[in-house]
Amino acid sequence: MDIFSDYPSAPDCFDEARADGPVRAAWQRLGEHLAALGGAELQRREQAALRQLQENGATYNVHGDAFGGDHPWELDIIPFIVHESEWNTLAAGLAQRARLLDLLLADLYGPQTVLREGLLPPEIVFDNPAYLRPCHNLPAPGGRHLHFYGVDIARGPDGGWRVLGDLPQIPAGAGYVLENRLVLSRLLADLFRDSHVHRLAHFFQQFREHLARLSPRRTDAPRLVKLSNGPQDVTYFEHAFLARYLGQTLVEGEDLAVREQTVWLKMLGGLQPVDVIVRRIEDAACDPLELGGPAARGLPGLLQVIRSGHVAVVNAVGAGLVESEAILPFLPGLCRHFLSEDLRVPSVGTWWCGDPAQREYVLDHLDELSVLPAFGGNGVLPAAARSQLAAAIAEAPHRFIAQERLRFSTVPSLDGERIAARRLFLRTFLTLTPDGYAVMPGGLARAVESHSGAHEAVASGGVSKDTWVVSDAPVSEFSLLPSRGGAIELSRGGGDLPSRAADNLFWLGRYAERTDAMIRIARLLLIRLYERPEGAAMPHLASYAAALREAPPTSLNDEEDYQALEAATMAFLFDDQVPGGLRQTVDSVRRVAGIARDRLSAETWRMLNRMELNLEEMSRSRRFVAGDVVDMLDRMLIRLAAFAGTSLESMTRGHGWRFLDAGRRLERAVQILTLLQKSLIRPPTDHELAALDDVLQIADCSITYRRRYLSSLHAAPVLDLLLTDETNPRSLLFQLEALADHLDHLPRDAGAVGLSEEQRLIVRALTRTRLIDITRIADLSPSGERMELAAVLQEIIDLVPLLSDALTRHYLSHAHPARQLDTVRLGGAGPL
Amino acid sequence: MRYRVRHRTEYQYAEPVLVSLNQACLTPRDTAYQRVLEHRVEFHPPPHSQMAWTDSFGNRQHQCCFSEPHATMLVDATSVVDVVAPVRPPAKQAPAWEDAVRAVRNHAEAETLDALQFVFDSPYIRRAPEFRALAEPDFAPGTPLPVALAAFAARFKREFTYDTGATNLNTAIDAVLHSRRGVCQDFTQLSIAALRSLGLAARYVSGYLRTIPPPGKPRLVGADASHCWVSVYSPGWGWIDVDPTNGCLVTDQHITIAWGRDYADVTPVKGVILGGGAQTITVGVDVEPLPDPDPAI
Repeated sequence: MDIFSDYPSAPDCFDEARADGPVRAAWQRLGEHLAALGGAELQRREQAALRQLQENGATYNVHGDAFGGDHPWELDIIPFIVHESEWNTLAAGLAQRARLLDLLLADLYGPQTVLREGLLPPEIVFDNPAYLRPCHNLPAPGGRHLHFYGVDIARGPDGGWRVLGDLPQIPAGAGYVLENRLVLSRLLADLFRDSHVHRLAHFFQQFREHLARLSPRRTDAPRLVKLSNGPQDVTYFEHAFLARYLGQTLVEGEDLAVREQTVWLKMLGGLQPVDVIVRRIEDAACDPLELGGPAARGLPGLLQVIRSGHVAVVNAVGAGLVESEAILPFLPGLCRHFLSEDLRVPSVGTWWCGDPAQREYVLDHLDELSVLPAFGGNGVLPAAARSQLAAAIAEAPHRFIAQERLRFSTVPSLDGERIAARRLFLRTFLTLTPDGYAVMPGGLARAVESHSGAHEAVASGGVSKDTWVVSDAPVSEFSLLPSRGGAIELSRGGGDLPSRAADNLFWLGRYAERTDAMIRIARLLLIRLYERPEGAAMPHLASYAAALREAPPTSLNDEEDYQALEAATMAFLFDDQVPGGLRQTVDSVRRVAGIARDRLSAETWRMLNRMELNLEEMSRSRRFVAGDVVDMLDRMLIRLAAFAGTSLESMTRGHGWRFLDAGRRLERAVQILTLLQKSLIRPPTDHELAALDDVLQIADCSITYRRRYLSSLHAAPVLDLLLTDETNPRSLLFQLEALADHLDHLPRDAGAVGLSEEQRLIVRALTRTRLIDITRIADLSPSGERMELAAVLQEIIDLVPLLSDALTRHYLSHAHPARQLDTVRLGGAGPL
Repeated sequence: MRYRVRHRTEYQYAEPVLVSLNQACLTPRDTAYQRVLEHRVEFHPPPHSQMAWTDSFGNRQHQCCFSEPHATMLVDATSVVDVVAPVRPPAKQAPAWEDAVRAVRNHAEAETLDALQFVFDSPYIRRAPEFRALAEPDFAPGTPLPVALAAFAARFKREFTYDTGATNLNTAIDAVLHSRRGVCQDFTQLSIAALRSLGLAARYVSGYLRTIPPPGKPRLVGADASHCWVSVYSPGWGWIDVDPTNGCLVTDQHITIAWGRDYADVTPVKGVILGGGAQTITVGVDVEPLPDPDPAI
């Protein structure tokens, strides 16, 4: 059965599935496969795909709205299929276009012959804010401006491909192509295997090899970094994903420094030179010194390093100049000029209003065209105010363009259980190789419901599709991916950890451990409240609430107090407005994990993500039944244990692991000290035994205790187990010894003598703990207090912030944010 | 005229600056009427690296990096230049200002194509009808460009009040148009806005001005200041420099450092620093006329 033969496509355009030719067979095979699966199964698989994308943390933000938060990535399970015979023709045309734009950039940032010879109106360059004068005559890596280039294309009603737009500056999307492919090739594994789909890995391998060749230093191992805006970037998921896939170090501006005309990466062990920068930040943000903009972003002095030839930045800074659609009408002429060839893939019909003849056409056809600012800006101008539009064009004609409203081809898409027709457009990518530009065999296809023009369609985003370039013969199965379930990629040897990454891993360890401690306390509290017989007094419970919220214990006198305690505990767990509550802490886990993402395995990320999803789900439901909540907390504990387990089992014992674990140990020490401080210094009379029991439970030491001492509960053995038993992985001494070991193994400044400040502090804490006399501190005074215990705990607790600060200062400090120097206006000279 | 110019810019930081990158545009350039005989730019403390290059406008730019903590930075530029007054045919025979607009719009030659980049908006300057209106009274149809420029500059000096307290670096030209007060920076950028709004190519020139002490008083060392003015393109005549602050065409009293679209392109000293706290800037400029060289040369 061919489910694509009668799906309702539009009559006035090209249809991808019904086109004649070799592609027909591939669609037919897909149609049969999908029909065999059936609508319900398709929908189930689509849900599975979405779930997997969500767990992988695949997000994007189509509108670039900084406050809109991340949207989940959407994938249509039906791929877009194109035959290699057709694709290769298209690819040759796109490679030609890349060559053309590269030559055009070299000319515009160099001799500007095309302006002098009248091939491109100079207004399109001189009045374009994307023309960055400090980039003029700046050396381009290997003499080329365009190294990795993205291009948006669609098919017109005649079946011919058109270019909708060029992305020479930040060619975003290649990572999403990979992600889509990973998900879909698993979901439709049989079909994928049988369809001879060209693999993507070879393309990325070519890109990787190309980057390595660009290094200005002659070295076997050039240092490559990917420069990102950080997690607030709408495509940060992709930055981390691609960096991990391609083995690049993901950095932000503040990880780098310019000194002595070299770019350096701030590593734990000191500064390391950077050879190649793949930037994912816009042209204008690259160098706040020469290009302006906020000094805290980008890298001040970068252009000077490029000028001196000591770093390669791709794509060349300033490449955004050829993004302007005003260039499109002149490309055919420029192509003949530079390449002595005709432009093979035409652009979508575009008119530049700076040219009188083109302007006249636009004004005569305002109703049929989309009018846009020529140099970026607020998208399509509303057609409603025609007279205003005409007036605006007349005022500054060279600042406007108009484009035809191309009717894209239709493509089958899954809509619930049925197949619907959607409009298709596609972004594909090219990389420079020693043999010229190579095109990715595939791309990020998008399906939109309807659209009025090319620009509107691209802006609307739509649902993504994997693109299968199919062959009649078997294809190479080369892969760059590590085998699934592989180790967390953390460190490639001693100093190879950027300071900021170490900082994030340290805090990831701390927040994850804090989450664990909070859950254990809250869980016990809820269980005790749940079990409590009506009217029974359990005043010791107040101390756990105090341990949770770092507040002095409130008294529990009547039933209302117990109800209030339960309500407060629920709020602590589920209200995202409670400062330092579980929601906020889990949010912090996610935030630092997000930044450290290029160093965490997909499995680790999924576990943390799933933990947050559990919590969010229940918070949204607003039904907090104690039993369900305890179940959910148990599930979260399992995820945290799995997170701790993967990091223990699969991370190499490099500095990254040491910082993650140091964070965890430090936090666990704080949690033990706080718990004991709140619960055992002044245990409520007659509730000492209950409190000891609870403390053992919270600290996860009940089983050990019972095995050792059977059921006889006494303060001294409990305190020994939690404080001074170095064989207990939950004791204070165990945490401090582990911390001391980590500190001994971190890189030291060459020539440093004796102990570092943080080593001194940890030795103090260790010695104080080892000197504890358990029987003395376990003794209750006649007034029912343990003042000696209080003093010891306070002494050690006071060392913790000092330790954390010393560690941060030594290894993690970002010093100060960069800012602009004040400048003096020219104005002192008064009238003669 | 021969001049020795010393231009010192000193930054004092409340707290040490850990690292700084600085850029200076303080090197006078050779022009048709100016020859640079000597020049050097020095940074104190001695920077860890230093580099110079020529920017896209032909100005000389210096950049330096300090990677040790420092509490002060001094940029000390010394130049010796010869300047002659432009020699031109009678202004009344010059092309009408509309011809200048047309020549740049058609940009048929390298010179007019180069001038075209000074027609558009730039970081500190935009074109608008209200700015055009400021210049229009002096630009009657067919007025020769130098005549119109001289009249515009003279009227500008009459209508605007020099007032160092009225504006700062961030004052927009709109506010200057409204208040009619400011310093040469404001007057230059507002004049450029007015002239560009007419369609002329107008650029921003940074430099110095010789100050002549009142009769009987000695010349005060360091009392001079950096200055800026406007340069406008005319076919056949080339670039005509005009000083709206002083209401005159430029002769041999002005020393040119650099030009660009506006202040952003030729900022004398700028930089990016880490740390530092509050900054105090002291600027001293000294323009000293030297004995004329042998008139036979």
